[in-house]
Order: sequence, then structure tokens, then C-alpha cells
Amino acid sequence: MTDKVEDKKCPEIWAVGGGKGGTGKSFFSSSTALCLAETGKRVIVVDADLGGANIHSFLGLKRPRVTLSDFFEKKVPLSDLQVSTGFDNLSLISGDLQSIESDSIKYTQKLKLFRHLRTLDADFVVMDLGAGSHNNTIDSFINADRMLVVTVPAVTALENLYQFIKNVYFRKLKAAFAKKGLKDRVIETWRNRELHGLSNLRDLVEHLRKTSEAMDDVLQSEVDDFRLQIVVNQVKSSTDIHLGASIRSVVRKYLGLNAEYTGYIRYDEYILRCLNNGTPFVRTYGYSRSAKEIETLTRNIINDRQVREVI
Amino acid sequence: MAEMTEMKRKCLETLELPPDATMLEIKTAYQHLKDLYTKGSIAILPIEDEYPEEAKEEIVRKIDEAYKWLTLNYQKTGDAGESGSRGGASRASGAVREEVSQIEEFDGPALRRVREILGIELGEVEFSTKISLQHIKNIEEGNYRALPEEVFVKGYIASYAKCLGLDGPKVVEHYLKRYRNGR
Repeated sequence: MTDKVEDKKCPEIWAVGGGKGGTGKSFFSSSTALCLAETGKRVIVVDADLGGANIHSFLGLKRPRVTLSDFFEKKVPLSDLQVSTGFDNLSLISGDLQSIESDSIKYTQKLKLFRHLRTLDADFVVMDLGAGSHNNTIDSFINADRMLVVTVPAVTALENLYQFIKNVYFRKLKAAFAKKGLKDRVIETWRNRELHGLSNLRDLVEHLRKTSEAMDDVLQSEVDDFRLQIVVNQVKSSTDIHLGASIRSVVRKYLGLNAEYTGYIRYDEYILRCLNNGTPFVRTYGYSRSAKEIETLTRNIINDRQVREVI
Repeated sequence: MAEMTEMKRKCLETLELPPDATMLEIKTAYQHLKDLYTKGSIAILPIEDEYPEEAKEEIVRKIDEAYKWLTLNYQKTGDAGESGSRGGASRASGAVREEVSQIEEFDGPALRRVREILGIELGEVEFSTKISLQHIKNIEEGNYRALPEEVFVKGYIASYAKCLGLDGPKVVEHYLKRYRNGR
């Protein structure tokens, strides 16, 4: 793997989202973190699935006693929340919030969390965001250095994925306009979409770009900055592998956003067995094809490469 | 020539390919996108109703145009590319065609060479042909004794050749000749 971030002091933050539950976000987050750690990178996996945290299970650990709620409520430094995983170079910060509702975390608190994540002594922070398209999840996603989405070859998962992507982009647009003092412009335009003849996100963006030359530039840079890396999990056939390219195409051509097909992981029943046995799959069955695919995928993420297949 | 290069980049972008894509990749990507937007897929289903039918037609038209331009101009731009530095595209596309056309006898190692030139993983062959990984290896290594009866091998080779985009009957004929002698 290349040492792209070697000269950087703060860790590179990866956010793993995707909308639907059960697509393997926690499995992927823990596995890719283990792969990174194996190459000698210092990695912290953050279980930001506030309320449904279970990454520890994928690492064969008990539920950690200290969690992000200690950070939010008692101002405990993040570095004190890192628990050792028993694997070299890998520690865990659990997001399990027992006492407070995850939705009650304020925007400023989230920004603070990110500020503090960047001060951690590590090369990579892999954040598992959990399911759903709540603002909480979306804000974390936007603030990360890399935006990764995990999906499976099922129409329901894709439906939620597109919804998630649209929400992410919508929120980014709102933030961009807010910075220019046009806080409600995006939402108002969308509310009056029939009046403006807008039926989808792409129309909205095109309409907003006409607001002014300055906004046109702002939106252009928003579009340029936006980059999604797609992971398709539980593939069972070459058709499923090709689906990643189809999703990429739909995101690019319909939503007008930059997406890349970063990798796939084939279905393996031993993944669930390992989870139930408390042993991480990529370490127990490191020679399996699914594990090799996760390795390739991790390299692709770091090197900004894509699946390049010809069949 | 700069205009040609820019046009090529745009066309490749429409087909969602990197600037150094080979002709084979162009063909594959075109077919994939064309199927996606004309035959439908679960990737489009959840979002289709938000976009009018014309949006899809527009996409198909752009894909067609890009492909047409690339098939007509690919070789020209490839040769005209970064002079002196042997541009990846021209080299790769030329290499594929040249290597494959030079193969006279399709034995195991020849099949492996074609697979490697095309950048296809063993796992992908397994996926698309349903031949077990071990047998794909046996085929490539010419372990004739480890392979099953001829009737099965014939089917294997035919689907493997198809997967690599080779002339099926010719490859089967070549391979079975060696297989019979090697048993």
C-alpha cells in the first residue's frame, strides 16, 4: 500500500454508511480496519452507530465500558476511550449511548467530535455510521475525508442507498448556501419544485446554479468535491459484481455525482459463523476469497482505484 | 490533436472509463451501459420514476455517440497520444490484439496468457463459467489427468473460451487434441 498519508499529522477519516441496515457496514468497517492494521498502519475503528453499536462483536470483544457518551456527557478525552482490540495497531472507540438519545446530540457536539477525532494519534480512523439517513449520520458522513457506502444486491438496499446519497447531497447543498447567507434557499426552492418544474435532484442543482455566478462556482466546487466510493457486499454471481458498475452509472448519470466502484465482497457463510464464534473473519479465514477481496478493496480505497474487470 | 485527445477523454468519461481504457474495455463498458439503460436493472428501478423517459433516452443517445466516436477514432488518438512516451491506451489495445492473434495453439498456458492480458481474475472466470477454481487451474496448467471425462472438459473449454472472448470451436479443438494425447 502506498504511504499517501505518511506526511500528514492528523488521521485520515473514513466514514462508512449506506442507508439500509444489514448490508454489512460493521463487518466491512471492522474487516478493512484489520487489513489496514495488518500493513502496519495505526488504525482506530469508531463505532458511530449510536444506539446500535456492535463492532466489538465483529472483533470478538465484549461491549466496551467506556463509550462516546462519556465524551459527549462527561468530556472524557477521546484518547481515553480507545480500547485495545488485542490486534496489533488496532483500537476501538465504541459509540454505544445508553443514557442519551442519539438524536439529541447537537450539531456543535458533532463538529467537536470531528475536531477531536483529527487530533487522535493514528493513521486512519474508520467510522461505522450504522443504518438510516438521520441528520446525525449524514453530518458525520459529510465531514469525513472518504465517503464509503456499503450495499448488497437487493432492490430494497439500493432504494435506501439512493435515498441516503440524495440526503447527503441535499445537506451539503444546504450547507454551501448557508455559508453564503442563503440559508433557506435550497429547501425553499425544493418546496416550490412544481412551480420551478423540478422533479429530481439533478434538476434542482441545475436550477440553483442559475441563481448567480457566485453560486454557480460554489456548486461546481461542491460537485467536484463530492466523491463516493461504492462497495457491494454479499455478491453471489458475476451479475452481482457488475451491479456495482451499474450503481456507479446511475449515481453519475441520474444524480450527477461523482461515484466510484471500489470493490466487492462475495458472500461467505463463514462470515456469520465467525461473528458468532467471536473470531474476526479476515484473520480466521485470511486465505478465503472474501478475505482476499477485502484486502484488494482496502488497497483500492487507499489508492483511489476501482474495480476494473473485463468479462 | 489536443482537440482529439479532449474528445476522447470526454467519450471515455461518458462510458465511465479511465483515460487509458483499452478497446476491449470500451466495448465491454458500452455493452454494459447500453443494457443497463435499455433493458433495465435493479440498479435503476428505485430511481426511475423520478426521471422522465426522455432522460433515459438522452443517456442512451450520449452513450451511443461516445462509443461511435471511439470506435472510429480510437486508433488515431491512441497513436497520436503522448508522443514518445508510448501511451498506455495504444500499447494495451495493440498488445491485446497482437498477442491473441499470435497464438497458434490454444493450450493451457495460452489460455492463461490471454486471461492475464485481459486482466481477468481466476475468481471471475469461476463466477461466469461455474467451473471450479481447481479445474480452471488444471486447465491452465495442462494437468490433463486431473481433469474429468472429455465430455465435461469440452464444455469447460467452450465456456472458458467464451468468457475470454475467444473463438470457441477453435479453442476446444486445440485443447482436446492435447487433452487426448496427455491422458
